[in-house]
Amino acid sequence: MLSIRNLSVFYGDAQALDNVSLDVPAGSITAIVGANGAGKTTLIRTIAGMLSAASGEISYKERIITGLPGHQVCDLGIGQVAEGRQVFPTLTVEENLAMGAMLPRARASRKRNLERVYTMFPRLSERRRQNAGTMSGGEQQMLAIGRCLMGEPELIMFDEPSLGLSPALVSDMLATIGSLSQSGLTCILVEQNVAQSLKLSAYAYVLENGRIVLSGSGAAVLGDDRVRQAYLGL
Amino acid sequence: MSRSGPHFGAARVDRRTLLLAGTTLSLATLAAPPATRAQAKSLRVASLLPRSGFLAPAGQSCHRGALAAQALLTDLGHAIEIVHIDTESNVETARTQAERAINEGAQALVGPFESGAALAIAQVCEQRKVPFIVNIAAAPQLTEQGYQFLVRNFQTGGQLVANGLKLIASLLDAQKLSYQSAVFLHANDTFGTAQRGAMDALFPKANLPFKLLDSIAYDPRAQDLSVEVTRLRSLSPDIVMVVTRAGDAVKLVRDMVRQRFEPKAIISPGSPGLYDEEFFQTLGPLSDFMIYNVPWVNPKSAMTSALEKAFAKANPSNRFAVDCLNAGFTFEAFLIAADAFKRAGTSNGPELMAAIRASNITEHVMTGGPITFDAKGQNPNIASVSVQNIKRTPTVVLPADIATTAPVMPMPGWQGRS
Amino acid sequence: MSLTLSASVIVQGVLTGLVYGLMALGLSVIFGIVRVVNFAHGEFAVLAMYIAYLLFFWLKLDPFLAALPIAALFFGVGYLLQRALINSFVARAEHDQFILMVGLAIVLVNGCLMIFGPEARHAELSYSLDSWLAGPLIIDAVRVYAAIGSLVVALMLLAFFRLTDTGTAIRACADNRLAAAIVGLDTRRLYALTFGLGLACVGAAGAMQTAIIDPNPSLAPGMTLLAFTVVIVGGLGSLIGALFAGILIGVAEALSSLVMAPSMKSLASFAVLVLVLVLRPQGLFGKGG
Repeated sequence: MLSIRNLSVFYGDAQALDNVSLDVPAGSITAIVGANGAGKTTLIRTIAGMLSAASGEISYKERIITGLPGHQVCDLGIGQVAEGRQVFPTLTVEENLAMGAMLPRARASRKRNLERVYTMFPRLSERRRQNAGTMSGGEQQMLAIGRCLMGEPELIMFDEPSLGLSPALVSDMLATIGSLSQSGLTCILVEQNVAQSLKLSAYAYVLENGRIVLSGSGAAVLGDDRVRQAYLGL
Repeated sequence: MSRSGPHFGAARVDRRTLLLAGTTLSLATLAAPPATRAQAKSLRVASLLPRSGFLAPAGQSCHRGALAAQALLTDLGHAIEIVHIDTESNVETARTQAERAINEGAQALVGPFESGAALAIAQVCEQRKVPFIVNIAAAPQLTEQGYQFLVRNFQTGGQLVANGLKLIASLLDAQKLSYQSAVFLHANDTFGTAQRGAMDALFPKANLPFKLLDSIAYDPRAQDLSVEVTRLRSLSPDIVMVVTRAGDAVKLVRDMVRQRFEPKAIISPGSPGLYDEEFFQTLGPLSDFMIYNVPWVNPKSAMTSALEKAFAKANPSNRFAVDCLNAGFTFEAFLIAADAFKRAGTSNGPELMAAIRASNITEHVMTGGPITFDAKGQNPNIASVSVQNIKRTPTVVLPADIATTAPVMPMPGWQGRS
Repeated sequence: MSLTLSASVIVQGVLTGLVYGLMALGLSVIFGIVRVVNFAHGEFAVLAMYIAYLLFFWLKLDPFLAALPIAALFFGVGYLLQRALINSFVARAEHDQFILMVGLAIVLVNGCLMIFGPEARHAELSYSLDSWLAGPLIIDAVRVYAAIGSLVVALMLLAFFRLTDTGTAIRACADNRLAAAIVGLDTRRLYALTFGLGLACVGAAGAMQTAIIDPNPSLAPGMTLLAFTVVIVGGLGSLIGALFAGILIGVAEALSSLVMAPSMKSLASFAVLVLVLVLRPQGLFGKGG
């Protein structure tokens, strides 16, 4: 569904991604793991059109999207749940959700999508008039996911969705992602919870210093000694 | 095209033409060999006026006098060549333009409508030993600091207020009116503040039949004067004495009309603002019946009629009656230079200056005695007269011997005027 | 000092203050969302005044009606200006933005000077000298119209931001720029819209001011300064704050010229500014921190 070939990205003089190639098959979860600063967030933002590539190519559903502005990438059905949730703190829950549906592709079905999100997260429905900034971390994460769903994405990129959540909520979160995937959505999952996320994923890449150093099925990567040593402390 | 209209096309052409004219003149000056200057048959005089910038309305009004002066003085047999220079309402520009004018052959300088620029030019002229004749500028220090190459044919600020107050008393006497109270309202710029100082010093001694309730300073650049007028109205004086500058006079009247404040008289003890063409054009009938006690042309003088004709020829779209204070004093400054040149027979600075200081010109345009200068270079013989706006025209109403009509007091209400 | 006198001065202050508020609203909207300080604000106001004056002079169009087309025109100008010029400066250092906007201001004010000259222009309306008696108070008609007009425009703007999706999207940009990019809002377009709206406010305020003040290029720097004072007192980016601070400063100016001297007017607005900066640096309606 999404395929990246030889992608390099720079922040000024510093190279953040070096010749990265990867494939994300439709209808499954692809995990990207790596240490802080390995280039995971850079990769997501480059796909989303928020950063520009120095070289390489990103194609989505057989169409090259490298160089498209962010709002056009979103409108192709590539959604994002960013690190730190990134809600609009002074907007109400409902306004936050409405912002997710500003894309041309999602305008018409906004009402239906809103009902779906409220059914999925009844908590958001209860707090629809509340300012997003006043909610708890878990609720904000629900909102971030709900807002992304409002844009009717076909591919969702999750960047550290469990960051700062309690262990119980982390499990809930990952379960939610699992069920979204089961409903047919393609997911990219960037996570610190390497063990849990690799278990969930059909395929996985390990990113180190801007390079892909390992790839394979989720189970295979989880079984790799280097991964077990570096990320699981085993 | 009406003056208040947007004639920007004309303005642009005007500026370019002026620029061109200026360049041609300075080129001509450069071309003249310096050796011929001393024996020149005619006197070259630079006219330094604020023809652009915030003093532009007054500067332009003076400039129209300078244009008329060239024609009239030539007619009267004087050999004078006037070079027109813009000081841009800026003291520094006035200084550098004075330097440049002298470098390019000016043998006397006239101007500059404003005291700050006058002081700057005076310093240049003192160094270069070139006579400087002040047309309009009221700061007392101009003639108090010992300048040898400066004379002033205009009243000092103190004289303006003293004469202005005397005329108020005469007006009340002449009309047999007994007004009880007055408020003094003045702009807080250099001129207005100086007039306030003079008022504070002179009013208690002037022995006037009315009380001064309050003195209010305002910012002439303020967007409106509504609060000032509200305060004025609550004091409810018979007479409002004003020292205005230009556009602020319009704002003042408008806010008085809006607040339905109708004093028995609005009198300026010596300031501009109430007789600018802008004031008449903008306010129409509401501009009538304002009184200002200022130096003015003598309507009974033969030379005034001659100047009026020359003015009309040089400036067909402007009214002499409105411009006559500025134009009259500017003309007289050139007259003083030309007259001295005729008597001295030389354009040599010190000799010409001696002749200027020895002036005794009986036939001239402004009201008062002959033009002479005291030891300080000040003409002590300039009189003030009471002028009132009647049918949108400044009209002399006092003293009786030169008045063309009687004053209208008390002032009719704002409503129902035509 | 009589009660009537104070009361009428306060009424004048409120009326003038509402127009100040609308002027400042334009600046606040642009700064709060685009994060570019429009140093050419007063110059745009003066430009609007001249256009209103010309429309009145040529077509006898009432400045209060002219406020509509002028606001629309300024919206377009602001939109294009942001797209074509200012957008490339949004991410640049503040001193770069400052020089750009000051340059724009110089071009505007000197353009007005070249075209119209330094003298003030007067638009004499049939009702410009009307006033009403309200008990012991005398209230100027034009000031009431300008105040009502300003209030209407301000409320329309507030409603736009509260009630429409585009308005909400613009607020979202101000709230969290990163999030706006993440959900796929077209921030360049929204910034251009915002700049357009900001200038439309100035355009409307300037046009209505023509009924009260005579247009003159030298007004511009003072207007920019005033708008800044109001915005800072009200709290950067707060729209209600700008409106409220406008009234506060209008009343403070009016009262100070009554209690002290009229020439102390601008002193009063700066005194309010200093007080606010000391006691509540984020402004009366600003967010803390």
